[in-house]
Amino acid sequence: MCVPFAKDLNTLYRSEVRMVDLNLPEKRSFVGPASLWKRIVAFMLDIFIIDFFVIGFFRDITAHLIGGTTDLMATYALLNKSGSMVTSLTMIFVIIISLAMAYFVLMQYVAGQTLGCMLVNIRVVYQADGKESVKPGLWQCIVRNIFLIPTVPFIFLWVADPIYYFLARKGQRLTEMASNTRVVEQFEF
Amino acid sequence: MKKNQAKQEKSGNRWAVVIVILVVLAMISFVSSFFIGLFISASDVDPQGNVAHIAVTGPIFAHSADGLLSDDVASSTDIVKLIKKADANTDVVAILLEINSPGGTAVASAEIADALLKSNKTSVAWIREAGASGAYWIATATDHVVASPMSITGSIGVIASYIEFSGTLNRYNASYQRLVSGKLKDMGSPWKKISDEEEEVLQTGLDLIRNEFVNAVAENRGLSVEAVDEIADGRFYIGRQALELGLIDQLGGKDEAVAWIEDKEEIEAELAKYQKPMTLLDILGGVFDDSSYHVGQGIGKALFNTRLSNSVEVRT
Repeated sequence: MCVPFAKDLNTLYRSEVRMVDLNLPEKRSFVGPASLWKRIVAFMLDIFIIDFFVIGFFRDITAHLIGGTTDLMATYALLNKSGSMVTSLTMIFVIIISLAMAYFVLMQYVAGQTLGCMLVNIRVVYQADGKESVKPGLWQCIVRNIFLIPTVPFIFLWVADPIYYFLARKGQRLTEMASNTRVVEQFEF
Repeated sequence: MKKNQAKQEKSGNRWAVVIVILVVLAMISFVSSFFIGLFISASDVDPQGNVAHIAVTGPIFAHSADGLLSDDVASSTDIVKLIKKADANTDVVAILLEINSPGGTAVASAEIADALLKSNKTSVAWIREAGASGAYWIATATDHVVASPMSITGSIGVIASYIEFSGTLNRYNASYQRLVSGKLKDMGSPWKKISDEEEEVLQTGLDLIRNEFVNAVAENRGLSVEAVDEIADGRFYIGRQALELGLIDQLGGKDEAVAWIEDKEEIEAELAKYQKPMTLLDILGGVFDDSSYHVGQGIGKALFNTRLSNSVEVRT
């Protein structure tokens, strides 16, 4: 059978040539860096999950403490007035951050992906130089999620991580590079 | 086929792991929020409003046991804290003191009166059923005293009466073994008859406290010491009598008290209830305190009865 010549994969895909005609496997796949939009969607889904399973339990207490104050300046004034309220809110904040961190670290360590990643079909892998990618270890999971701690110096990662992502063009954030991990997805054609 | 089965099993395991992690996190969140809730109370937040409403209800003592089973007691420690809290709040322009108390210990009453005098806010006392003795002392420390025409006020005087049981001991062939170093150490003990010297010492003390009370009332109310001394025989006055004697400023209730604040400060009053924080832990602790106290009191009384009895409580 005569097969039209395709200059690149896209042309091949667009042409109506089927792989069976070439006597090749029906599906071919390779693993590559996950697309940015999938990563953003996965992270947003994870935040939504944390909001539901963790933050939701503390919402009433926080509302009780700040008395329904929604204005930022009014909240600031309120916090200035009560030292004990600041202590209580700090305690709640620390617990929420710890549990959020535990969610990301445990999910990636145990399942290799968070629930958000599962839903958009991306996962986290550890890849040492020249070796096959494997599920990340606990330490790697902690390092790659260290940006979740909203204190100095980790808070600077909120800026450094995306800058590195866009400048390095390796599909990795700074903490991913530091932990030798990357988020990947499986491409099939 | 086998490959697909293994893949499905792997996927099933992964979902089980996800569910376990989420359930554990949710449980930790629930337990943490529950325990934080135990420690956090409304006290952490300043009540919203421009008039701090503070209640002085029940007998006035320096401390009180907090709990579901506790008696309704006005603790000067707590009330002074609330007055200071209201004083420190810049949104608060006045303090409305709701008084419904027969009095209490001299020191506790004086502590609250002192806190009011030191406060920079306009203060009004609203006497309900009773604002007698120590409670009246507190009322005089405010800028304006409002009382119901039928309320009980005044009762300026000091009391330290007690029941003497020495006759009862004799009747049951029991005796009081007096072991003291310092001849007046056990004065006021209900297990022996009071001596003339002891009575004189106690009476002098009571007179001095009464003088403090009279001077405070005279100074706070802008009356002469002589005028107050004359009416300070310990009797109570009904609201209307108290108004005639200048012991209060106005007959009325809460509305009149609030209206006076609004007139003086030219504001629309928004009452903010200032009360002692009661966390769930306080309440549970209070129940435990109460039961422990009563058990301990029973044992203590049985063992050290004479020791407990050697104190005279001076009340205003």
